[in-house]
Amino acid sequence: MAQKHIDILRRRWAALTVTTLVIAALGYAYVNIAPLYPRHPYLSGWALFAIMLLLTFFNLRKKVPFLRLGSTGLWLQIHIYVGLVSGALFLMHTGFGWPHGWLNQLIALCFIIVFITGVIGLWISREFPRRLTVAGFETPFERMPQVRRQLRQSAESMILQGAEGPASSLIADFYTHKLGLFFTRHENFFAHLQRSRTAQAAHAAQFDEIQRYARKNEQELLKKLAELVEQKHLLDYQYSLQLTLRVWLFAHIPLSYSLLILSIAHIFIVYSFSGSTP
Amino acid sequence: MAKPDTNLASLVRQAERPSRWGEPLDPGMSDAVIDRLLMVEPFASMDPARFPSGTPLREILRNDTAVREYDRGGIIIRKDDYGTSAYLVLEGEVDVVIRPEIDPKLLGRAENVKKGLFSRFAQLWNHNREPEVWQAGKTHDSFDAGSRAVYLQDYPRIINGAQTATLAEGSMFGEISALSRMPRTATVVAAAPRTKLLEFSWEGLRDIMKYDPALKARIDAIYRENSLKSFLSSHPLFRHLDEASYRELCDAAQLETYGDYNWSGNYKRLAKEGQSATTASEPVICREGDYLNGIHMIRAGFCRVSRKLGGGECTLNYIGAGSVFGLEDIARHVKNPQQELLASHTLRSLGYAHLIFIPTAAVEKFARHDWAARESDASLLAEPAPDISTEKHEAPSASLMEFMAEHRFLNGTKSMVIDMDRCTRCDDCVRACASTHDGNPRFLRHGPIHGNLMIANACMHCVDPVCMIGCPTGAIHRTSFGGEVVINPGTCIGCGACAANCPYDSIRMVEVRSKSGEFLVDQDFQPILKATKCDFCVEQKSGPACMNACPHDALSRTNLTRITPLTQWLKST
Amino acid sequence: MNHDRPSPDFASHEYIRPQVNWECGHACDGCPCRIGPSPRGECRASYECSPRLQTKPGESKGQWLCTRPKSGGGKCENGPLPDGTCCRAIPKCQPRRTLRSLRQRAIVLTCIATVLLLCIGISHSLRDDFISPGPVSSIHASDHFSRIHHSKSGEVSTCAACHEGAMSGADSWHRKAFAASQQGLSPGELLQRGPIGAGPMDQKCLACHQGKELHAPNMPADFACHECHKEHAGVMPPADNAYCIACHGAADLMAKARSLGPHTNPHGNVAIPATSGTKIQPRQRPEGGYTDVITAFFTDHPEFRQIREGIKDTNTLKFNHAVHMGKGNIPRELKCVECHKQDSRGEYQLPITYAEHCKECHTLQFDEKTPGLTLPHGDPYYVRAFLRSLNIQYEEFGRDVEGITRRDDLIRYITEKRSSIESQYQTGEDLEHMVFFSDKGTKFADGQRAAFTGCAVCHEVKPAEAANATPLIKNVGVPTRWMTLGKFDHSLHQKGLSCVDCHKVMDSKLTSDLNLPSIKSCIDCHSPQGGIRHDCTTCHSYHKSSPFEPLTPAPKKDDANIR
Repeated sequence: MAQKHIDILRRRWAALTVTTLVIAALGYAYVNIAPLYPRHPYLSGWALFAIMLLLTFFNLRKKVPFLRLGSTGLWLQIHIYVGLVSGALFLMHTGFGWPHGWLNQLIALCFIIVFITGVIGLWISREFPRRLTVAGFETPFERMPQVRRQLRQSAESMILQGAEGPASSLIADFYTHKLGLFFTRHENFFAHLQRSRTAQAAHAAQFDEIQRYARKNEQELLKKLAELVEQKHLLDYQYSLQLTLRVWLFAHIPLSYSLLILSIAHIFIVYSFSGSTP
Repeated sequence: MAKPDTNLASLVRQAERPSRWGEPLDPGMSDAVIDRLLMVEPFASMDPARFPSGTPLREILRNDTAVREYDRGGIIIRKDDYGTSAYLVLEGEVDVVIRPEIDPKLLGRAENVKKGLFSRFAQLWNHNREPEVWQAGKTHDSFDAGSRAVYLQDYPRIINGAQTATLAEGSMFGEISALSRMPRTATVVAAAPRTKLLEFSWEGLRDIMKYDPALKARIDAIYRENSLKSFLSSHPLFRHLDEASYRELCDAAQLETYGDYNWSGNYKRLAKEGQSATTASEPVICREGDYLNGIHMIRAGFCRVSRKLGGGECTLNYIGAGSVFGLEDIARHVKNPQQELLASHTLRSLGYAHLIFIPTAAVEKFARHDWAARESDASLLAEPAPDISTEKHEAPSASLMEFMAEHRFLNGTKSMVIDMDRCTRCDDCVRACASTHDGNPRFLRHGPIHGNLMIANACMHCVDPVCMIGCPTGAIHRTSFGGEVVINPGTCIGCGACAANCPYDSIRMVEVRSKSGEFLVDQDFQPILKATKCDFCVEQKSGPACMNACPHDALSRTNLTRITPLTQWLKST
Repeated sequence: MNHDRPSPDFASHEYIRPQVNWECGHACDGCPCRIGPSPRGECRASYECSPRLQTKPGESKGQWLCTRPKSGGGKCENGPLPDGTCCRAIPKCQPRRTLRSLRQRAIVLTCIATVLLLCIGISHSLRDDFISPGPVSSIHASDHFSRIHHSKSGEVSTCAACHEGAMSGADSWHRKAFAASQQGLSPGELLQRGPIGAGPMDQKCLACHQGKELHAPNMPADFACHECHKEHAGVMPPADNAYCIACHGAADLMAKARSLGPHTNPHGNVAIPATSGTKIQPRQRPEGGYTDVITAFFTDHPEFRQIREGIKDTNTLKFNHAVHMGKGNIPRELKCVECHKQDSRGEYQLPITYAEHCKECHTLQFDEKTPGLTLPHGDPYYVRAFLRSLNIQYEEFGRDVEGITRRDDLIRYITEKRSSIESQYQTGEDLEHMVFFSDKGTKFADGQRAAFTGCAVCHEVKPAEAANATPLIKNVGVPTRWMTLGKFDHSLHQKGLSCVDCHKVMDSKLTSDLNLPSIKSCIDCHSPQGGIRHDCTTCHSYHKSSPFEPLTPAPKKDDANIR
């Protein structure tokens, strides 16, 4: 089977160049040619609608991977760069101003949100995988509860095994009060997105403190517990980033359908109010 | 009021557990035919008592053999097809075409049958809502088109002037592919009208060989002879030789085998013990600094090429079938005969290696004249593996080589490699796989990670698929055209041998269910299992759905038997 | 490298299924049951195995055996209960939707919400604000306007005042939209160059506003009202220059207009109504109409026709600007504004009359001794009648002006004056002659110079043909406007400019001198370099057939904004 070796950087530069040229051409057309065509907003509007349909079809194409319609990778590239062009086209369609009227403002708002979430989503899609890979402890999203459970069970069985004698309640108490909840759920969602290590530092400080009071044979236990805590942090990091990688589409996709519906209404209204029929 | 559930009964449905011989190779095999077969060699001199009661000779013949009849010109085996049957000539004769090769177009090598447009489209709504639905008794069309017989029109004219070997009654052929899981080495055509052959499924042959030492010895002998001849005759170094030279060369050549044929069991055990154990278990074939007596040509399996670095060994490359070790050193020696002929690298076998050793004298005598001058010419050596360290590409990092060798990933022709720096963990690949397999994904998007590279648990369609070794029914086989390893769910009895054998956790046993979600169980209420794995979407015209579905170009099905495709892909991403 | 952070171990013998809609509720705790929820999201958990009754030969009751498969943990420790019930019940869960399923729902809900929002938005009371693409200009948005519209049509929504689409309900939009897509908004129409032609919506504007009897009858293209008068933009912006240029800058359209010219009424639409009181020197409409290709005022606007064709003032009043501007012998310095007074709007000048502007110096006195007695100005018949009734004139003058009331004094006065005048002039005819025909340079037959400047100083006087008839003096019509196709506001040109900056009258000696500025002096300021607006509408109007009258205004509120 032939494998295509795409040079990503070269492709990106080429695509950006083409996109810039297209936007420049559109800009030129808007400034110099469009004024001669009084109905150019209709043209830009239909172009925008066609582009929005094309962009929406990306989601539909993913549902039929067994049809030969071009690879999803190619579709995503088209989606990104045509999406950028659509932003420029939208500005030209509205005449570089914020529209008036509730419906038009609603459409504009939807478009801007979809556009911005798209750009942010693109950044997230390129940045977060690198962060995840560097952090390590790679876990499939659907198996995270299992791994969390394993960590919790390891921690608890360690604590229970180590429990002996009156003074050993130190560690058990430490676990119950400081770490108990920590192992039962995902924590520090936003902190991990910001790559903040505050929570980890806090735990490390707590361990430092408890080390002072632990007996010699408990030191080993604490070390292992600290390792489990570190792993839990890593798991939380994986969870935060992977969930974000899934959830950003909750803003992008539904609103794009909304945008299509509103656009269709917009087309009907504009046409019927255009004064072209007696 | 209905009696409340007291057990799982409402969610199980009893069904018949498939058995090894549930689908015989030839359902029309009658007792009369079997009786006749038992009267001819080699069956006549077999001792039925040596066969266990579970697999008596008679039943093996009934279920794992078939009588095939061919007319003159009928194509029995096509060169380069992947097939697992062996044949015994009962009547008539067959021609083994040695040289020149018959035009593949005439041979009619057919691609796998793919689903039509509507069938593919219908996958959108046709898939079952329950996981792993299996409908017993429903026929599953074979997409393997290799079983269609084709006749060579005007066979005498085609064969005129070609070098052939004729096999008469009592000869066996096809055993190389049956036992070594490699492609057919030659085309075999029926030469006489009404040629009758006895076809053995490979598990049938394996079982008979297990219990009949005479047949085993015979097959081993012809295996060695034929495989040696066919390998040397197709290798660029020696392709040009005539028959007499060949024989001399073959006499000089020696077959060497290192490691266990069924290396995966060993490997899995060693892998648990850690890296050092695996390295220590790799037998040294040729050590750096030793006198070099000749070249080693790798026929099957993989070897690690390394060089001393500091106090340890630095893996430079791993080489597989077709590669040659030592040619460069000999060439250098020919240029400067005063220098001692020493090996400049160490060669170790990885798991299992089947090599052919040719002494220096024979190399100098029989190899192509220009091999010495063009020592770095990669085309001179077996395609496409170049000799070590002369490969014109960016040298991959040693740790990557270690990673590949240590996990034995170099076996894969279609390994799923994922660039974790680009993978957004969206699982679109898994969804796409599920949508092409009735709603069931066939791989796990997880696996060993090295840096940003993950090799996922998806069937690698190995060059040497050890999963096929223990299959009792031959359900797991290679498609004849592309050689992809696929499982025929109709004949899979769920024994789990393939899953246990696979060193890469690519095969998963699933508990099959009915359309309404009940577990299908046998009389003992044990779930009926089927082995499942990636089949590279051989039925889909669009090719592997996973690769098509990845939006970020993070996933690739790469040939890892050579390091170049992987490094090129890594570089470009 | 992440060698030190390898992936955690987890049970990997099962596939991960991200495409299903429901997952077991226990999955969030890491231990989903192997049965899994139904595709509809119902928990199917019951027990972990289905015990099998094994009856060995000879046994009657048999033994229940656990049949839990390896994937579930293999045979359990305790085995089934004696009645065949499995000892390990699986606690039922509340299956949870997977993220993918939640996303599908989010899409559906968002679509429904959008449709609902649309329905609410286009419901009657909210519709106008919802679908309006922008605020309407203040007049059209006013209560006044909506009252008028309502009284005319009965509709509450003022959108229907202009938009056909608002006339029936929202359920007719699709029909109207399709109709529009086949008529005015067909694909060919969308690609049409040049301003949009007149369309059905124009009829709505014409219900209140003056129509488009336009500035030239040979227009090759007609525009829609809304091309130049953009609504829904808040304050209605002034008409864009570009539309004028779209026609006047297109050579092909101008050529077409030229060809239409001969077939149209050349005087149509440029008639100056007689009632306006404005005097214009008649001129011919150019043969090709006004079809010069003009792309900008400061580049290729043709020179004003008056200058270009060297048109002369043919009026018969003799006037020498240079003299009056001080180069001649005049009693006092004259300022331009003393004669050329601005009209009430400040745009132009009031007509020049003898009584207001000339009389001060040109007194029409004929009697040196009685300078106060002046001849009447205007009709020569009355002048002659005056001259032939001198007794009465002197009498009235003596009584009214000199204040002589006694009859005897008055008679004496009159007699005196009569003697005086007769001594000045030989005959009454001479006096008459002198009055009518003497100008500054007049010498009579006997060489006598005129003692005063008579009618002929300023007027063209012709002797009458018939005997004893009044001399003929051509009616003077001083044109008050020359460039009638454009408008000019003198009051806006006062700052930094004096009259003579544009009107070069200092050296103008002849009446026929037009003294109008060339376009070049306008371009000095009205150009990008000059910085003053130079678009067509600065001077020209599209609608006005008469440049003197304002357009018929729409029904007034109390607003002077309507043009």
